[in-house]
Amino acid sequence: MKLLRYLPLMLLAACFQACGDGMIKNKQTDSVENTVQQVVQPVERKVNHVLQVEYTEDLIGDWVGMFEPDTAYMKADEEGGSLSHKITISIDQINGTEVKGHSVVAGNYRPFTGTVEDEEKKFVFTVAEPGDDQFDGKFDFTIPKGDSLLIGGWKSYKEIKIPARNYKLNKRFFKYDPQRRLEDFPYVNWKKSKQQEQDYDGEKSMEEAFYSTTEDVRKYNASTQELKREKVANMKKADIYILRNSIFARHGFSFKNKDLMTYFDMQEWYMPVSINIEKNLTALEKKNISLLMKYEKHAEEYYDVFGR
Amino acid sequence: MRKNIMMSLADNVSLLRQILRIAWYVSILFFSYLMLLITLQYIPARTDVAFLRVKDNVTGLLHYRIAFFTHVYTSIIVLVCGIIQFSGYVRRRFLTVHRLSGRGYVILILLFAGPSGLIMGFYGNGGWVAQTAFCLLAILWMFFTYRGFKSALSGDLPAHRNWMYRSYALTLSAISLRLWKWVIIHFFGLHPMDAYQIVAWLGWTGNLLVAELLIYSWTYRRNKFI
Repeated sequence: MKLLRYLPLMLLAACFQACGDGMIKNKQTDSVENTVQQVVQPVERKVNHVLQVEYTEDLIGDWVGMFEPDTAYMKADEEGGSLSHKITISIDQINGTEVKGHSVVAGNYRPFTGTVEDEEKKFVFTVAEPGDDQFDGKFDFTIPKGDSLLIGGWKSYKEIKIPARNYKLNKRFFKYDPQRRLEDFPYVNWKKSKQQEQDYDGEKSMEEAFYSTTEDVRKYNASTQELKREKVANMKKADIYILRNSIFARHGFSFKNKDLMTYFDMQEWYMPVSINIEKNLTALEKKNISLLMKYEKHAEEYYDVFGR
Repeated sequence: MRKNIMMSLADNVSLLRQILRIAWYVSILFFSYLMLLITLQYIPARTDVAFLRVKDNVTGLLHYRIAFFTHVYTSIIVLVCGIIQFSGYVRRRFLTVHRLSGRGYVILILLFAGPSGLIMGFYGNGGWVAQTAFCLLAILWMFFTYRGFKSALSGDLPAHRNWMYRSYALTLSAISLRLWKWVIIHFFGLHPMDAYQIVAWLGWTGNLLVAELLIYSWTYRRNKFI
């Protein structure tokens, strides 16, 4: 009986315990995208600055565009946009009919080898990835002469969610340009946003409350200016997050994180060309990254909770 | 009949008071527990955690580090000491406990939590706007506590009570500041430092206002009856 008297008290204590932990710690661990350390030996290639393809040597270079799911594999309830990723297919070497190259998409750097046929009006490629990765497959594409287009399809070896994809890529040269600016649309992470239903004149609309960028993200460029501590201290976490990741994007980093991929894929200038850009970062960028990281972590843990 | 109605009314009022008192103790205990969790983040003393992670421009200063950890470790005790001081039951039945706990409260604020708070306020986040608020808070905190202590020693109990209500109102700003921040962020989604500047002021002025209202209402009531 005596125990029974203390039961409500104990329950209350347990409740506070849970509640208190929740109010103070609100950790999200998945949002910090770190550059993946993976040793990739790039193939030496002769740089060819011709965009319009006429001869075999004009084929060498980077081809960029969207890697889209084959319509046969799109389910009705899924949005095609979120399954499409920007891809860079690089043709590195051509020896006679032998081709060597690689592709970078969704944080994956995969080499390929195969053959090219010089037909009258186009070059026809059949290349294959090694097959030791779950997402490896076979590319078939053509590059018409007199144009700057690469069109084709891809089929996976293994059974995966989307076993066939199509693409229409343009030839483009990757060049690191610190001046690259983010275009004027917000980054919104719907999973992390706390949606609030708001009443405007009787009409209900959903407003996402937190995890989206503000104008701050376009006001500053973390690749060209040294960010001031006071400025970063007053930024929201999505802004800090995007400012930091835009440094990586300018270097052509291929993101694994889906939301970042979607956001940067929409930036016209963005080209995923590498999964290891750490060594290319400038001293200024490194400095900004460490400052941003500090406040990003802080904002994530403490922005909307009681205490610190 | 009329007497009965008056009696039941009085019963209801005392019931309401009872409920309010319980609600007060439950919430103060709950928030003290939250404050304890916050304090525990800094045990063992490290400068690469929580709040200090974004204070690395000043954590290199020895006097800041001393002030910070002094403040964190003593303030939680100050907060808890204060909880029982307002209980008439404790004062009537265990006056020694009231006096001991009260001395602990005063000494900790005047020698440790108050001065260290002043140093931290000087280096506070949020620019001069917030720094002024925090420094003023620390000075008033020590001042009210000192006056409350003096009036207790000289036996002026109404003055003692009034000063100590003001003092504890400022002690509670540790909680109210964080609550305001939570409310402001959730309802207005302000930028973090803008919100911080607001709560630096709102956190203690609101409490002080409530304390003054309470003091005013007692003075008014007493004068009316005399």
